[in-house]
Amino acid sequence: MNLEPVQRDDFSAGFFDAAAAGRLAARRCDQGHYLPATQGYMGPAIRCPHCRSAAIEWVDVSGEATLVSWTVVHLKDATRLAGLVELAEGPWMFAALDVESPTSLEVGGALRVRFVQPDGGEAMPVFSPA
Amino acid sequence: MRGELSAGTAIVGTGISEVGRVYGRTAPDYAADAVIAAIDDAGLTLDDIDGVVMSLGIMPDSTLISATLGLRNQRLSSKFTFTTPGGAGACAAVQQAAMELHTGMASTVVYVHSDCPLRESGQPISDVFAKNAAAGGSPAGIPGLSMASGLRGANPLYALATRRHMAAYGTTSEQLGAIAVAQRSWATMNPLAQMRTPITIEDHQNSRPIAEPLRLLDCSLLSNGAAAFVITTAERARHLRQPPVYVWGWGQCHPGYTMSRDSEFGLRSGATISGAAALSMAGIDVGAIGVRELYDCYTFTVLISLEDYGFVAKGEGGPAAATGALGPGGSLPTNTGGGQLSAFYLWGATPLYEAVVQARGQAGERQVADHDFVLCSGNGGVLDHHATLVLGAHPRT
Repeated sequence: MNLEPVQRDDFSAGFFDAAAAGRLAARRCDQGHYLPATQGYMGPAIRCPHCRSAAIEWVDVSGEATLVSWTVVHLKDATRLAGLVELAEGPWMFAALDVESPTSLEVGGALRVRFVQPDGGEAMPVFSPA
Repeated sequence: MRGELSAGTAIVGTGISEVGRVYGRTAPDYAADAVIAAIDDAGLTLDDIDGVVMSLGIMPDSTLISATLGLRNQRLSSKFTFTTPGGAGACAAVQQAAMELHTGMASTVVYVHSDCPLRESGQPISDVFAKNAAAGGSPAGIPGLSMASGLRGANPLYALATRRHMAAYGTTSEQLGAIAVAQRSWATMNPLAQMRTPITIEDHQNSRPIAEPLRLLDCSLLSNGAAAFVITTAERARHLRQPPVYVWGWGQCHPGYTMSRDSEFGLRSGATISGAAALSMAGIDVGAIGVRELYDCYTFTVLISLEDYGFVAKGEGGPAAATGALGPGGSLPTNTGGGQLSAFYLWGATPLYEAVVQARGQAGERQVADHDFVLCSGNGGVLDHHATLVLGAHPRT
């Protein structure tokens, strides 16, 4: 898979610790609500959108998801298959997809996560049809 | 209250600098040209201006047009940024001007959008975005996961929205192509347009993929330049140089999609709520709109806006486009100057500029006969911000 290496920051340390151990982590508040990690595609989500709790932490999730959407990005020297996936627990995340032929992807189809680690970067989630 | 505001103000002057693939000048310089031209168009002088609103494109710029032109004692000075509300800033600027005028805080406001993203060397725009958006170095953190997968900038995110709509409603790439073809037809009649050669659906399908399903001809142009607008009270507007374009209604909607189950991202946009507010304020039904100038950063943006304003039913934007309804001679004339896809890309000022031309009845061979009411939209971010104006060729009686 051709993914760029990614570095951790303070906020994502818990996510990448789980990834290194082959586990998918997501954010959950102290009231049990799962929430996406970021506000839209911007900064870290610091309040639960359901109950506004500020007590949020990384917890392990099932690694199962369904496909919300996908795109093949045409860069100067490469193409990248990227997706928007809905975790079984509810929140969405952007992630790389791995499938032989993108046209076989089905919005709403079941996916499962695995992890890859490009040289010089953290372990990263990749989703494939389950 | 809303009834008092409706058609209480009017756009009385427009100005545009040289625009498109023009080089060697700066955004503030283009802005100065556009503002001077707009004030002249209105038959006013710089001394008449007592409020300024600006919106920015992608070039970060701290220059105030009031400083550039030496405007003294302004009662309003306001700037909308590239992210918030982005391309919705033009409609939002007219709304803010209208509200300031209504309170008597200012008497004559100028709004200008300027940008200078293009370099003659042809540096790819993605480089400029990347420079502005990222601190540099390899991608980091949760946003880094997106970037490492190729999700940099607006193109891939809009592509995800488009694909979702396709999966839900059967929208096709060829239907998006029909939007591009229709707008290019309008552009052939617009002396300001950067692209004036007609295209076909086949041309659209053959244009290189950017972020599938979006192709090159699904995406807006890039342009250097500026456009400006002068807004004053309806009473004052009657005594100036141009036919006034009355601001009958307005609205905004910032959906704030939560990125989780049941989100309507890609399925329903802020146009639903923003449009309903604007039409309600204007006191008219969507069927009374004769001309649509819809923000068209992508063909998909036009399609979802048509649905969410109620011009066509949800999911029917693609089939409607495929009939040719949006182009010259069609039943839903849309983006009659070519829009951002074919004319020029000055963010929200692009649809607003053509909206004023049409409402005035000055569009020449591309003039739509029924121009009593023109709807103008703006979008910002990736479907994050929406704003609407209902402009009218006549005062309220």
